[in-house]
Amino acid sequence: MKQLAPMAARFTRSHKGYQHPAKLDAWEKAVMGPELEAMRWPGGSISGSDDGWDDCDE
Amino acid sequence: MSTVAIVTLAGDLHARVIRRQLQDVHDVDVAVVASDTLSGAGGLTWSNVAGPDLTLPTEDGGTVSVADLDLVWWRRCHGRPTVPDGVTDPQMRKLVVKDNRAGLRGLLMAGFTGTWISDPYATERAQNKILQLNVARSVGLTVPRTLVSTDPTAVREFTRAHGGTVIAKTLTGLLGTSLEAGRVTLESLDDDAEITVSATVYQEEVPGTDHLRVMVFGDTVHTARIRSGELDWRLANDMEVEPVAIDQRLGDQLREVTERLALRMGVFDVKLRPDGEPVFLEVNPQGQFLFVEGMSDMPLGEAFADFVVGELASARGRVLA
Repeated sequence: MKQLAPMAARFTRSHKGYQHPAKLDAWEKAVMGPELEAMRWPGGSISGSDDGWDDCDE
Repeated sequence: MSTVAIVTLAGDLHARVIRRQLQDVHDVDVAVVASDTLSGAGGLTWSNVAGPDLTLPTEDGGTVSVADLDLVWWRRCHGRPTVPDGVTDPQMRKLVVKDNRAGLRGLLMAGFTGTWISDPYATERAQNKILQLNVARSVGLTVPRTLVSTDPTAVREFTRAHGGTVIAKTLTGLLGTSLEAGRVTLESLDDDAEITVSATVYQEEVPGTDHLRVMVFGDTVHTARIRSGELDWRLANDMEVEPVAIDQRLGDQLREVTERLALRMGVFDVKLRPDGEPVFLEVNPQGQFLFVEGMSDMPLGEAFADFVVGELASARGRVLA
């Protein structure tokens, strides 16, 4: 069977994702301190609003 | 004392930063409701008989009474909800997620009478990129020439009409997967089966390296310029971010888009052509903005907390009037 995928699959980066610059790392550490380890950004710090807005019922 | 609930995903740094600002500076009580860890938490209760309080579980293990809430920041409500390992049947795991989502929404729809940032259904509606482009153009913003299609003939004709290369991107997205925009050439659009699989956004490429990330919080507008050589700056390691002022007309137009989409906030992506003309790309109803503070020192956490306090004050004013 022929493999098919949405056009956007041509541009999927499976290894790196959104970048997290060192300057942002430093700011997060300064702002959150020890709490930072428990934190996560939905989908990554620098992400579109779609992350966390998957409106497909899984 | 006012009480605010932030509905978001567990461990959300935005929620922690804004909560701290609201509590420490403005003496506002803040409850964080983690929409993706409802299963197993307990504490979600609604009833139409006298007795139990309408409550939602909070991230710190307690509950918040919905009747006490003055404002809900409806930030994130999907994600990948946790389901206890003991629920092993895949269909039942789906049902757990669906019922908890419906419970959260229903409880707030039925029991919350305060201010939304923003209304959940307006937020979901505003996610649609076709609608966004339509509204943006209707207020006079420049938007890229765009085709959304599964029709191979239409896609090839559009690409041909734009020099043989266009940008292709998704209409939605996938949690946890980086789907960047990319260039497609006419020659590569040779497989009808690939084109007809799903609706895809095809757009003329807007030249330039400068983007504006514009945060509209109610009536206030905060703008940063993001400079990057990459087509999609989110995946760039070279971005430079700095605060800039934009002209009144652009600010008014973006506020108008926010209002027409029935939102109280919006985070806009605008690209600047080399001649300086701004081109609307998209609006994120609940876009990330604290990374802009982290990269540029713009006090956006403070600005957002001020906005929330302003919304609370406006609501009190309406009640007293």
